[in-house]
Amino acid sequence: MAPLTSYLGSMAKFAFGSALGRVLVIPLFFAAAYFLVALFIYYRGTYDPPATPDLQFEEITTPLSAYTIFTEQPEVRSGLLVIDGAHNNDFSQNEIVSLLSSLANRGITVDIMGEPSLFGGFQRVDASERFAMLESKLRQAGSLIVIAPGEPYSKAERGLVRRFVEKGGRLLLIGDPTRSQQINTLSEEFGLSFQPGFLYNQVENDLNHRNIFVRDFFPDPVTEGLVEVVFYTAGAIRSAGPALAYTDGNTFSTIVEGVEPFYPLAKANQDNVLAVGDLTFMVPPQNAILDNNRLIANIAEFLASSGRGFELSDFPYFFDGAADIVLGRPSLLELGAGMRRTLSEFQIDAEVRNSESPGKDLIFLGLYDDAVQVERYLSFAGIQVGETVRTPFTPDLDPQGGAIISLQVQDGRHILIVLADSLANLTDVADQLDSGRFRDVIVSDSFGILVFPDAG
Amino acid sequence: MNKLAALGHFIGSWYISTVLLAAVGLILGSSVFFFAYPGKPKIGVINIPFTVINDRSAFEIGAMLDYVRNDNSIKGVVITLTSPGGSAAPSEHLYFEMVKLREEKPVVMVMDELVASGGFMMSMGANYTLAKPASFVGSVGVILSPLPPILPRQPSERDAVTGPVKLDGGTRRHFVTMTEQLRQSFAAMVIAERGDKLKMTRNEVLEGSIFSGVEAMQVGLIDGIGGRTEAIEKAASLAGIANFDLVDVNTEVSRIFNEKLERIDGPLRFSSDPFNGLNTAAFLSLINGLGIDGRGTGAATDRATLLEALFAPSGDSLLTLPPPGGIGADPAEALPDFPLTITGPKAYYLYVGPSD
Repeated sequence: MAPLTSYLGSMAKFAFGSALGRVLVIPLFFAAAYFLVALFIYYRGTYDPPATPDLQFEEITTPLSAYTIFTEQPEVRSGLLVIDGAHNNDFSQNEIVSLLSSLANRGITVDIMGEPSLFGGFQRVDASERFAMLESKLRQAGSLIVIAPGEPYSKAERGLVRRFVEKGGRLLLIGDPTRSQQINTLSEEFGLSFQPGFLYNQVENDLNHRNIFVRDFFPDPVTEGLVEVVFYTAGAIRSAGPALAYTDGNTFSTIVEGVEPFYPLAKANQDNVLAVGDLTFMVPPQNAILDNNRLIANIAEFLASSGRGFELSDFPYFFDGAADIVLGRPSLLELGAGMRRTLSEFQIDAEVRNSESPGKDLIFLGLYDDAVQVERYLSFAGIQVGETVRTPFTPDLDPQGGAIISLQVQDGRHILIVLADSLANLTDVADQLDSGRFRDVIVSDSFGILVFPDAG
Repeated sequence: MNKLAALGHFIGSWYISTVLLAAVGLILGSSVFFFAYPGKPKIGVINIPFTVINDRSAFEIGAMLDYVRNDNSIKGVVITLTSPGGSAAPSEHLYFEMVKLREEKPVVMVMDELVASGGFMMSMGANYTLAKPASFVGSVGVILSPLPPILPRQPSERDAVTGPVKLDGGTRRHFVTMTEQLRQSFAAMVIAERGDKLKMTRNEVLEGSIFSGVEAMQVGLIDGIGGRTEAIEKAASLAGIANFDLVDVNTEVSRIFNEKLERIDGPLRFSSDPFNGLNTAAFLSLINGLGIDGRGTGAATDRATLLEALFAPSGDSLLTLPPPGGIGADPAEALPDFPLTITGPKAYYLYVGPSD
């Protein structure tokens, strides 16, 4: 304390004791005092910057799901599968090449309804042409695939597909939330509804919340052998039938609040209608990830295993590649040759023969008097030919001026019997079979009656 | 003479000279304080009205951040922002610029109507974030577009290209991987910046949700509710200053920009008539020769139109001074003979908003 007092005293003495001291010390003192007061007035503290966070970019990892090798040796069979491309369907053939390849391995022929467009997708088909096109294609097909239709199915078209499914045809419906969605106009016919929005999983995914893993499957041939598949933007399906795949508790829908299992894969009440809520899982190279290829193979198997039943209106597609033509009498030979020509246009290898071959499809052309040769088939169908023609479908008919067409299926064989009262009328029936006009006279799935105008 | 001697004697008397010397000291002290160091403290106020972040807007915002960082009298910064975000790299640039600024002086962000995605990323670089109850904030996430198609591009007989993915840059899965990396780096920023204040899980952050100001505060995405006044008080508090002045940084930066332009334009305007024929024509000829027509509607026809065009907040501005075919030019113009379309891809931290 004493030195400080002494120091201040000497300073004061210097400041006030001499003119030089006053000139130096007094201004400096007041300058310092002002500075300190101003500092106090304007600056109350110092800025303490926060630590710069370490963002640890080097720890960012993006593990990808593995590609897997899948091979199969499926049973080879025959059949026709139709793919709808007439409803402004939003896909290209290249996108389904893995499924097409799997179908080809099974010997299934694929026919695409509609013309591919240069810009991807398909050329627009006028609604008025579409029904006839669909009817014609379904007549031949064992299976039908409908992918992301951009235009709705009309009531008549829905009826056609329903009828196709009821006959055992297999139907695969593929929706995709990233594409146009008019698929419910058809799927709801079978109690299936593709939900709007898409499924996502923020916790576990194949690098994007939209790429969801599915590991929970309902036992079914379609899910056989599946352990883990990845859907790349899937939508949920509601079905009155069994759901085949369930999402886990971390998977949500963009439009449904709350937690519930969602079904990206489901069957309708009918076992032969399958719905998939994603197309992109089968687009290369995503088809090769985890068990996706196995699922594609299972779907192909589902489509190839069609047990579709045919009816008379499907003539001649119910003949399985070959048939015998048996004539009731030699005078019908020219007619038999004509029928053979007609069938060859549909790639059916038919031969005129004296008698039927065991196990082979049969076409019998004859007059009513020849009915005795096929009596066992006629009686099986409940048809009697005599003074009158008696059938389970009609009142007794006068054979004069008329003809009948009957289709039966026995032991997997399709037997078509055509009888008429005269050669002229039989020829007319053959012409109608050739032109398709016979479909106007069908009275049941397996029976048709023709009455000619000049009948007495 | 006697009077002068008396005045000298009076001034020389100790009490008068002491007062005069004290006044000199006070003047000296104030001069040092206000004009040398540390100066009267200021808070720099930056106003960024609705702005989509891209190269240009990031350049302009960056210029304002540079200004406040380099002005030693500015002790704190308040930024009022409305932005849905924008391009990824410019958004990241602004975030890093904010962090750099924050290391020197406190930055308080006022989120106005909408601060989303890239705008939200930028605001993560502030010391303190405020929003209004009805502000919309958040939308953490990435949009990468266009992705290559799932099916790879078909090879061309016409072009010799090295490498199976040289044209696209990678498969679709590779691009999805990169998108995920950007997503995770955005998450890393938010989680690191918000630290313990964040009351959301990482996955909740990354859902990309937009939040009201109230919700954002409740989940810890922002620090509080308030407006510019609260932000200024907060910035002053963080900087430890009082009795400060405010600096309108937008105006100051614009003024500096004008001065720079004046240095280009001024020598050409020696006439009393600023639109004097030859000089203005020479200037217009110079600028038009550089391909700048202000709004792309043809050559500028007078100086007023030209200046308006140069300072236009949107459309072409001085940033387009490089000539066509040069820096920043349309790739189609830069490579007129290149046969393929240059499409990207581009990454965005952007909030698009509900569709119609």
